[in-house]
Formats: sequence, structure tokens, C-alpha cells
Amino acid sequence: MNSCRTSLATTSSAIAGSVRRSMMSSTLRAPMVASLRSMATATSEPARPASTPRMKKLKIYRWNPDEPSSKPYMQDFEVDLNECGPMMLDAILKIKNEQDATLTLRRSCREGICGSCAMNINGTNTLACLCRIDTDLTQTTKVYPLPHMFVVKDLVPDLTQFYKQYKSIKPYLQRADYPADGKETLQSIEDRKKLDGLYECILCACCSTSCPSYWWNQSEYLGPAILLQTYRWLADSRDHATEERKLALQNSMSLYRCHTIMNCSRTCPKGLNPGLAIAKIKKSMAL
Amino acid sequence: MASLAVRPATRLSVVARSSRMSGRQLIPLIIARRSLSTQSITPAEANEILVKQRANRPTSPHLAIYKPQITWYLSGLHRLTGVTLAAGVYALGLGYLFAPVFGYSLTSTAIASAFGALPVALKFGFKTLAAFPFTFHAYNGVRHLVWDTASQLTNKAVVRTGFTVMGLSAVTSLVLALM
Repeated sequence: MNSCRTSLATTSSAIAGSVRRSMMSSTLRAPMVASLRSMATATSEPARPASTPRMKKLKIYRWNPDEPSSKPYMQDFEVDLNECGPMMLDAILKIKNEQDATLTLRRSCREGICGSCAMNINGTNTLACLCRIDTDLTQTTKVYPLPHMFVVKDLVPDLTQFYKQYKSIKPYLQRADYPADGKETLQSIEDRKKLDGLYECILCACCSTSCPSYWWNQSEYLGPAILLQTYRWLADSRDHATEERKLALQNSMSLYRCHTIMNCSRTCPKGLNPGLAIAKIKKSMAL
Repeated sequence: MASLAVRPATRLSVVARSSRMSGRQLIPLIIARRSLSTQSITPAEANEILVKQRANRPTSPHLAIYKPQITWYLSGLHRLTGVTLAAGVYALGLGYLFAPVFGYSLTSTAIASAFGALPVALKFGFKTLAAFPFTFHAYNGVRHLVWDTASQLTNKAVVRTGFTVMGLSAVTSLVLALM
């Protein structure tokens, strides 16, 4: 059941207050939560006293695989910002709950750590859960799926190739010998610091799908997200496969389709810098 | 509250009548049996459906909907000016080679005298048009060389160096056009 997370939080706490503790036996609790979820739809409690509605216009990309002959189109929606959470994900889920249940999107954590709700909002790729709704009511907010990807349905892009590319760089520790004591492989504090700004990547694909080079050469060019992860393993003092990893990039497509456009770093919702990581790989390959 | 404890096993869905949530008003309405049915399919059949869907999937919009930003606009301009310069070199070189065949002369003196006969405004226009691709491509080339040392690659630095290159190439091409 897809329920607006913020409204679910407020309603469930309100209920918890009104129900006496003695009644909340463990057998009761589970089904109650289940039924609450279904009710959250109809009961999104306004955050402030009802005043004049602040209707925000949204245009959302729609395409249904069950009607393959029909073309994708933009559908207009309106959301009252007085009744909605502050983030784009709140608005989209509110539309899904109250206006059109067929609107399809990926989402999970609603706090920018899972990377599921990556989409193109007002022209730039970002996570819907980290993107505030533009409160200028005269402007229409446009929502597209991640650019130049095959569309599974509505805002859901096909990320199969993206994940295959991630698999291809062998994103795990490679070394022949491990410490004799059987404990963890240690590294110095300085070496650990080199991984800051790299390990935080959640593979939401915002950067890769913002890159024109990735748009045109997706089948062969790895793209910023995967190259950032490549550098994460190149930079790791515990990894001993550095030469093999570099050799895998030693061709015209995998790495060198990066033309330092820098859309990647500009759009990263986590504030990372894939462009810099790629430049560091190129530098280490050349010197 | 007891009526709230609907077990999922009984397959009943529960909704609240009122939009206001309070303990008292939580009078659930038992609407109907869930009438959704599923059919099981083999992995082979599932794969067939997937292949059929993949054949029809549209590509999501890209160039036309992405927000104009100095990052990719200057990158595009760098490519365009590079192509323009190369095309100019090829056109002049091949023109010089083949012009005599068609009874024309494309020597520097001939071009200079033809250009000298143009009105001043047109001269200025042509010179600016020729100078800008060169100056922009040269300055932005230096920007790329700096980037290759893995410096000036923060979001702020990319914007700053971008506008610097634009300003420098505009001024330089105007100076060159006035010469």
C-alpha cells in the first residue's frame, strides 16, 4: 500500500495517543498498523488550519506498457500545498493516493538514502524525497523519468544496463592474502580518509543519466556513477587489484567518453563529485 | 476498537469514514471482499512478457528537457566551435587546392582584396564570427588542460572558470575584430 509517509506518521501518532496502552496487545498491533496504512490515504491531516488552498500545478510524464501503441504524454495534476508535505515525493505520492492510483514510481526510504526515487524534476535529476516543492504557484513543475533511459512505466526507468555496468567493475575487495589472525584488513586513518566522498554514493543513477556522453554511448561508456565506484576501489589501500582495474579501463569507451562536461557533479543529490573522481582516474592512468 | 483488529487472513479492507482521525471517529466500514485475483505463470512465460515489453519501451526525453546549465552548454559550444574551426580549415585548404580547376583564385592576396572591398560593418561582423570560435576554443582548451590535472573541478570552480572563459573570449574576439 502506498501511503504518504508524512501523513502516516502524524495519524499513527495521533491514534497511539488515543488508544489506551492496555488495549495495544501485540496481537492487536500488527493488524492495526495494516489497517492504518490503508486509511492514511483518506486522512492526510492538514499541517495548518485550512485556509485558502494553495494549488500547485504539476506535469508528470506518463506511459503505460499495457498500451504499447500509445505515445508517452504529460499529464496535468494539481496539489494543494496546504495539505501536502514539503517534498516532491510527498506531492507525487499524494497524487497517487488521492487522484490517480495508476501513477507509477519507485520509492522506499523517503530520506535520500535508498536512491529509488531518482527522477528528473524541473529539468535536473534529483531524488524526489530530497527535492523541495517549488512554492511559486505560478510555475508548473515538470516531472520526467531519468533522461535517455528505457521507460518501464511512467517514472520508472529500466536500470538493467546500469546495474550490469556496476557488476562489471567488480565492486568488491580483491586481494590474494588476508591477515593471518583472520580479523579485518586494517588501513591507516589517512588511507581511510581517501574514501570519503566516494563510499557515500547510493547508485541512484542521477549523475549517469545527466551526462550527455552517457546518453549517446550508454552501451559502452560506464558513466559517472560507475566510474566513481571504480575510483572508490582504486583509491582503497586494502585493494590489490589496482593494475587489473586500470587495465579494464584502457580502451576508448569505458572511461575516455568522459569529456568533463560536469553535469554529474552539478546534479548529484548527495553532493558528491564524480567528475573529480574520473579526472583522478584519468590522471593516474596517464602518469 | 475491537473491530479494528481485522486480521489480514480474513481478507477485509478497512477505511475510515471521516477524514479527521481520532480514536472515537475511527468507525471502520467493511466494504467488500478483495476481488483481486492472480494467475501463476512459468519463468519462461514471464520472460516472454518481459521481452515483449522491452521491444516497446520508449526512451525517456533528454536533451530537450534537461535544464540549461553552464556545464553542458559550454561543453556543447566547445564541440561546436571545434567542428567549425576544423570545417573552416578543411574548406579553405580544399578550396585553395581545387579553385584553379574551376577558374577561381583563392590565394591570400585575392581573399584580402575581396575582403577589403566590403563595408566596415560587414568586415567587423565577419571578423568577429571568425575570431570567436577560435578564442573560445583556445581558452576553453586551457580550461580543459587545467581540469586534466584534477584541479578546478568543484561545482563553484566550474561555473567560475566557465564565465571567465566566456568573458575572455568575448573581449579577445572583439579586440581581434577591431584590428
